[in-house]
Amino acid sequence: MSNEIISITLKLFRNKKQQEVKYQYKKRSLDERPMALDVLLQAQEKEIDDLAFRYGCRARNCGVCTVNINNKPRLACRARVKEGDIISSIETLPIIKDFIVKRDKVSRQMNGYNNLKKKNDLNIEADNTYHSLTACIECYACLEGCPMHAKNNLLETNNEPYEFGNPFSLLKLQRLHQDPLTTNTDKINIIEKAKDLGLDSCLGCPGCKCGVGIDLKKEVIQPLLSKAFK
Amino acid sequence: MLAFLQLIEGRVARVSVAKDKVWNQQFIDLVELNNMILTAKAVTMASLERDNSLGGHVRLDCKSLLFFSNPFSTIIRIENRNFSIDRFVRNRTNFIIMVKYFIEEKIRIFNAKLIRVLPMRIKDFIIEKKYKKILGTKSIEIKPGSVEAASAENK
Repeated sequence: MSNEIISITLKLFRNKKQQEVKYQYKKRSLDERPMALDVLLQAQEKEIDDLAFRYGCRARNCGVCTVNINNKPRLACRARVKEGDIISSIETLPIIKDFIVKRDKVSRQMNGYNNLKKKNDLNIEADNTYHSLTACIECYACLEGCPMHAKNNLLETNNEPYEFGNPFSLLKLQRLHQDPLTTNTDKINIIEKAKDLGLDSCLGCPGCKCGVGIDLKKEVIQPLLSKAFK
Repeated sequence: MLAFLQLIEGRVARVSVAKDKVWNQQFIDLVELNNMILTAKAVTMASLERDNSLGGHVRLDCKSLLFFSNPFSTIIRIENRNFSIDRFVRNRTNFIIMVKYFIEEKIRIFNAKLIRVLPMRIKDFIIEKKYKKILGTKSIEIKPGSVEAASAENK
């Protein structure tokens, strides 16, 4: 092993089959500690020219480049890789190809719940419980290990929303609940929606982990639980 | 520039991509490249139509806009990859308003230049007064770069 090369295992998904590819990443400088996205970009440029992966901002803002590194969901643009690491696609959503997963069935759960009827009023200041939740970048790393999301059937290929929720959809609901423009009747609907998504799974769950460091259990799950099951 | 874009377009037309139908990254990149070339062509044509820098383009050869030139918008239509260019002449702004704006702009730039040469204490005083006028006298609790400004960052 030379100092200029890092070998990374890429787990690709082609033609409904999983295959492993060893990729030798060439360092651009000797002290470089590359991000996973650097490895993927170089692999696409140099060897696997039809490697499919999503990326956008490269600065942890857009949340589309989530991949599994050593079986833990990480943002590819902000996760450093070292010798022998394994990059694979996230397992909590159905894989389309390589590192591309079908994301829309999660966001469709919010259909009909984002309708703030009142005009936006900048003079009403939302409190801190609302603002801390706006840090969510929809990377879907929180789906890992969620017992509520595990009840969904990932094999269905239609475009209907998932039946059971996940920390992300609960976060959206809690944020809408904390929004000062949401009316009281809407707030009741939001809690009902959370119950429909299977909030009871959260009772006795040790908690979920956020990809960007939001305290999901304290800021999302517990407030929702206390309102839903008094 | 147009000749250069033509050259790239000719090269892109000869590119072959894999026939994979499931998330074919090469095909996606090809479509995006074609769209980029189309946009670049439209911007270039619009820039050639004008004699000054405006909007999406910078022209280094023609710098300033004539004060009395007729204002117009350029419209570029694309049909079957053929470009056609039109001028849409707009009404001229009222002459008095224009002169007023011109003088105000000169004063604003002069003030900005003046602040630069003033001593630090007076400079700070003027800038502070200006920002207080914009932000109001209410004190601001969250400082930029602090933990409060990005509450989820340091948990």
